[in-house]
Amino acid sequence: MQYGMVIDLSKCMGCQTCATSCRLANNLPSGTWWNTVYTEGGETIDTASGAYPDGLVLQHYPVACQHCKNPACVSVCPTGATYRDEETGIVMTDAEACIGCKTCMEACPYDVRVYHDGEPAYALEFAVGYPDAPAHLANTVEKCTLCANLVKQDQQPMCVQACVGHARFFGDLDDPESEVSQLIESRESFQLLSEQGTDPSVYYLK
Amino acid sequence: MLKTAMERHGLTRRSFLKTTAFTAVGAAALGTLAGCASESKEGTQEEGQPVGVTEEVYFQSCMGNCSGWGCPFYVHVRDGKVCNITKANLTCPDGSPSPYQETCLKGYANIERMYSETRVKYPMRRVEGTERGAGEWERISWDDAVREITDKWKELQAAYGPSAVAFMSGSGSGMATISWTSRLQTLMGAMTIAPCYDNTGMYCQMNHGGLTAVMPGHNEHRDIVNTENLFIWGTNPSESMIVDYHFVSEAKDNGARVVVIDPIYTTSAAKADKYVSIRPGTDGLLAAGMALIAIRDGKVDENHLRTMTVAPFLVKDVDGLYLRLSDLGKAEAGSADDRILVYEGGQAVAFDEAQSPDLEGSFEVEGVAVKPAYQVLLDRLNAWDLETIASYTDIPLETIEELAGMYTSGLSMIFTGFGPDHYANGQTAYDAMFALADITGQECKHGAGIVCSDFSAPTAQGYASTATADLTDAVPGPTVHAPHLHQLMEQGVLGDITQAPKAAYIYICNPIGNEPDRLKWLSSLGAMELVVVSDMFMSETATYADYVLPVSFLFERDDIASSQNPFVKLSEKAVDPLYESKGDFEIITLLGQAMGFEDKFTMTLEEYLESCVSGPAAEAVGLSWERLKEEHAVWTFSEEPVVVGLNAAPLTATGRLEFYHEGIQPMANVGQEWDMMKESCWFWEPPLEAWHENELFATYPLVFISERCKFKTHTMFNNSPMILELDPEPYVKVSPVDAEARGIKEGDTVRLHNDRGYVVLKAVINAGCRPGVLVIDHGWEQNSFIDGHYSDLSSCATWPRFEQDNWFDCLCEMEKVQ
Repeated sequence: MQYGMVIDLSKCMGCQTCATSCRLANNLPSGTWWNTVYTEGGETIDTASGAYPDGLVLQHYPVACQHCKNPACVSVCPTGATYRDEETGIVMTDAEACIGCKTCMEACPYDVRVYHDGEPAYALEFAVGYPDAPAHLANTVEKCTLCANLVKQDQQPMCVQACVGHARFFGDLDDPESEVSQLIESRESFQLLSEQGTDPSVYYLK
Repeated sequence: MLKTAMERHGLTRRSFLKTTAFTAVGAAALGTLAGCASESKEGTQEEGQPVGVTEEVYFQSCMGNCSGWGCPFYVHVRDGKVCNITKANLTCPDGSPSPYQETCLKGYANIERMYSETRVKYPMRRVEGTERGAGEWERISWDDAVREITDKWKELQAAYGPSAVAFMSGSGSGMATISWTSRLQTLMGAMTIAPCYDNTGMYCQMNHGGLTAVMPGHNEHRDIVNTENLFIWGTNPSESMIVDYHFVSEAKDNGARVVVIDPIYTTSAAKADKYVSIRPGTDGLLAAGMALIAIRDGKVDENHLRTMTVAPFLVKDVDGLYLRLSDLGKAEAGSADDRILVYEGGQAVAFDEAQSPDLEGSFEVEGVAVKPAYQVLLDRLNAWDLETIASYTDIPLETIEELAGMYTSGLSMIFTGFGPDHYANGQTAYDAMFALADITGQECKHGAGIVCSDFSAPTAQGYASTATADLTDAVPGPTVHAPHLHQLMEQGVLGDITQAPKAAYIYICNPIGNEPDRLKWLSSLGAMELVVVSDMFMSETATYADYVLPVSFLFERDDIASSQNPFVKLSEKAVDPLYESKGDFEIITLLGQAMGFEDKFTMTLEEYLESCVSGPAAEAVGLSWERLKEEHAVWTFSEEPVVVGLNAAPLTATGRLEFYHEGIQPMANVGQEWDMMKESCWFWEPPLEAWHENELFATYPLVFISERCKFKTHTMFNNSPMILELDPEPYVKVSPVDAEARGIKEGDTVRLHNDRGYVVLKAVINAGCRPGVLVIDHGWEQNSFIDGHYSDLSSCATWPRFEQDNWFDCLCEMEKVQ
């Protein structure tokens, strides 16, 4: 089994709901985003580049951990804190085992890992999100878990549930009958930085 | 699972969801889980000992008025705190998932709003001797606040009459309890200060025939997926209607071609098959050009014009009114028999006796010169030639031809919004779009017609506020519309109103932060003796008040929501109100009792809510209080997507779709000049200010518009830290052309100014901005700008027909701040 995700860029409007719903569901500390929505266009988000009006470029790319089959972060982790769960294919981080050396951050080509420099601060004084949301420990590196806590309960990751544009799909990439496999089969798709050899489990539909 | 957990914990609160009613997402989270973080010191959360986790789940709605105004979801409560929001799981009558239950990025920020430091915690009084807006407050008791406010109201009403006190509402989080305010206002005979956003768009919909028994727009959002050609025109749904944008994607999946017509290259434009850049304020000319081409190319749907529209009705040249049987002495004027006449076989006959009446020509009937309404429209259209239209719209003629050809091939739908509405000449756009649909018959079919943002959202049936139902003897006070409040305050007279208000009760709105021409608002409210603001948050308007009353958050009160959703929804109180806040129902009850209306304020909240879903209208759709409490959300809307002229009759005076408005009157008499004949049918004139031929253009060559962006709904969500992380400060989006001409680079500080005011903020270069147009996201408040205020630039000037906030009808100049 390899859990993965398909994101239909033709439907993604860059609305950031994946980012904020993830932030809430996972009780993410201030300044921490596991989902980032990039704009291909101008320097500031949601702006275009190119020549007005017929040569303009504006496209959003939501990016979180790519849950690579061959993750660059796992091989460099000195403590085994970062590992690929064999059962689900989800790349996980054991915060208790993480020593915060940030080697994984250097290795990851997708810039999706976050380091907590000291005790993380929160907007609210109490924990929000799911009661079994991951803990966020001081001086550790963390990232998207594909909502492993929800997936275990046969729910979809929060960003997939919450996707307002109906652009995100979740499922087993190893199952040729799954919705995600069918979408990859039937549409033109690509993986981010596929030349890095990481074999991401997130596919983007053009 | 829920039931098991409930029993295990011995809890019986009514608000636990019943598994039989619907399944709560996150139900599995109930029960005992280890490792839950416990409450801790400010700013950090310490890992506590493993504890049992009990969650309560409540049905709620996000009530941002962002063309959602009713996005349902569940809120989860742990340890007395609202701690999670999960998606609703409602189904249509046929069992399919409801397409109206998305929650956008802002919806998930509601917990941060609720626990924000900007919450108004206690009743507060401006410290005596300090200026309004100085920010010096003293906490007072509810008793003192209510007594002091109502004592002053009584004094003012005794001295100046009932309308000395004015009430102003807006489009904050409006549910059943907000309407309770109208009970007090009606009993007091107080004046209404009416907010005036979207009036042009709204009334043009209704003037044409959008208003039906179930909806104020023409084609419901669900119908978008049925079209073959989708013209997104005057709106940017990927930002301003995020929750319903999926209908656009589904239309594309179904093979629709999508065109976006906009001065700005928006995300919606980037996702379209074709983007057409248009000069601001000229949408009506483009529609007229498309209509002229359709007529030239024989694409007129004459049968549709004859049977569904006012096209054949004879209009008298002399006064613009329809020729009726009574004009010929054949019926009593105003009687049921007094039918409108059409022309057929060389004579005038009652419209319902004609088979195929003439649509064109000029006739004389018993000495009265008349012509069919369609001829009036043709005359207006033929006053324009395509070359002039191409020049004014700044759209190449071949593109206009292409758009017209596309529009008249297959099923076409215009998806508009309130972009054109925000210019003073907004009606020139909507009236032309409707005329285009009338002429070509692109309406009254699934997949053909006009969608207009939230006016085409379903409105659940069966709910009816009873707040004033028993006050049949009360004399309502006068209404002053927001754009003319300032004239009334300055001159003490406005049309029939001869008394400026001395006090204002401002609720569910933030006019100083949201309305155009802010300095006039400061002046008008500043001229009053007492300004009271009730709000959840310390809004910009609240900072200028004399008294601020704390309102409880959505999740802290029971309420009913019915707008912009096919479900009547019970919003369940999840936790007690924070601090000393109270719901609007309780606040108004206190004020009402103190005003001496004790016998009129005896209802409990539950009795009131029950009464709103208990009348004949509720019974007709099977709605009841018991059912609502049991199911929380009850679908009370058409199962089939609503389309005016197909499955919903227009509630116009003629019962037909009206591109001609017989005897049209202005929305309000404010002493303006009124040309009824001109306003009866489409015409085009430029915006009052935002126009390159305007004399101000030489000094102020940039049009300033504000975008309804994804990060805010008006000034809501300004207090969510995570939203502010994504969008930390206001900036003006500038075309590279305009930036370069002024030596402005990305991130520079710039000053925008005109004769009304100025604002200082950062600049961002956006190649998608039309040269000559500046864009600032709408919703920032004074403390966000480096200096000044963007609403100091915009004007409160209006077109004679509508009382309307015309934010975009604004010219300015910009320079880099050194």
